[in-house]
Amino acid sequence: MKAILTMIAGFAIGFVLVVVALLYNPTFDGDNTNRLSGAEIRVPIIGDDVVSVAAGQSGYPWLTNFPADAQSPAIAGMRSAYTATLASTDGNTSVAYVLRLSALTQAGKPLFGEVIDESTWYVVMPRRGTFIVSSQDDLWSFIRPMAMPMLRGDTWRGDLQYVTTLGPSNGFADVVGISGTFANQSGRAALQTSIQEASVARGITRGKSTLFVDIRETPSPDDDALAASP
Amino acid sequence: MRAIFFLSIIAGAAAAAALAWFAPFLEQERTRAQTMVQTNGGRMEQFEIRLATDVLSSLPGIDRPDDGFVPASADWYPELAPFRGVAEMFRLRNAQGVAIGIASRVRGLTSTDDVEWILHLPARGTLALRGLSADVAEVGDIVTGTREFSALYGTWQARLDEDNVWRIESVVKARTDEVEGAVQ
Repeated sequence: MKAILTMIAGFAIGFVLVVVALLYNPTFDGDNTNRLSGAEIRVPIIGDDVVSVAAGQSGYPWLTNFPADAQSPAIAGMRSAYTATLASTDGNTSVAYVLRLSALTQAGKPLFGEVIDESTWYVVMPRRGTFIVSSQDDLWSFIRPMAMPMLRGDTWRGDLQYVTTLGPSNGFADVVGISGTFANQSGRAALQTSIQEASVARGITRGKSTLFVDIRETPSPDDDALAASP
Repeated sequence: MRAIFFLSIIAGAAAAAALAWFAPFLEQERTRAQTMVQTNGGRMEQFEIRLATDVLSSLPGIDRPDDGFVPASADWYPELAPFRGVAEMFRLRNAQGVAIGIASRVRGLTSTDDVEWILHLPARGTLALRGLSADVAEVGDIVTGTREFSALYGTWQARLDEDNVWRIESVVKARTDEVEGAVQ
């Protein structure tokens, strides 16, 4: 009997130790905001600039769909969909209409630091044209410090800022031009998000995102061949 | 006894690590794609949007087939002028009426008859369509796509039927088909 109790106690201790170690992984490097370059578009993630939303199903009980007060019926597999205006870097001018669609992937392993959100941005810049951004973002950077207070029902407050973009192209999102001056252009993008306040009941209530976009003329195969020729 | 205790700790740690690595933490609902192979190559897929139940947003103007194109309200986004078009977001269904994604339609970006659709299907990818709109009938090319649609090209057509249902039909081929065709 004593041996069984010892086994159970040891098993429980080992189990909890690994879970705690994975949750509070000290090697986790959250400061990754110094790797961005290129043009910048500020994306409001809360507030009056978000004009319409459609709810999805996050799949994770502690990850509230954004925005939390979405009224529309859920669509299978979607986490969120919303439209917004994008502001210029100085924040004074609306420069684009944007549609953002996102869904969590099943590939994520939260305890190993992966809660992967796949999103598509459709950006309409009236004087210039349209392009899409295909992005994979890791939400774990935010969930880890916020999860416990939010699960307890508290409102989390702090100041987190991360570049969440992981891919699909070596740490950057893919950008493909559709029309206007962006036709036949491509590039890369990354999303930097800061959150100051959030709760399970209301979602993110203070924060903002900045989408860094670098889009330029796509070299044709002929151009490559010319460049390679002596 | 001490050995049992430490071995149990190791077993517990291994079980936690294995559970974290292998156990599915998320089981998203997925709908089987309903594509039809075309006689001369490529595949066709049909989508539906049921007005008005599938309208998730419509801004800043209103596109009324009967009244023609109504200019956008300047109250929404005055800074975005000269954009006088319509930007709508819909729930997207497959041909059987199952909601499978989100569609966006932007009309009037540069002229009153240009139109762009974005069809987003979770876990599959996004299709970007561009073409011309003539009231209730639209036609054009598939410009680009992401994920499973990334290496495809093709055409699309859409029509708003009398039962107030947008029916969109895309016909896509792989880029490799184009190359093989050129070689032959």
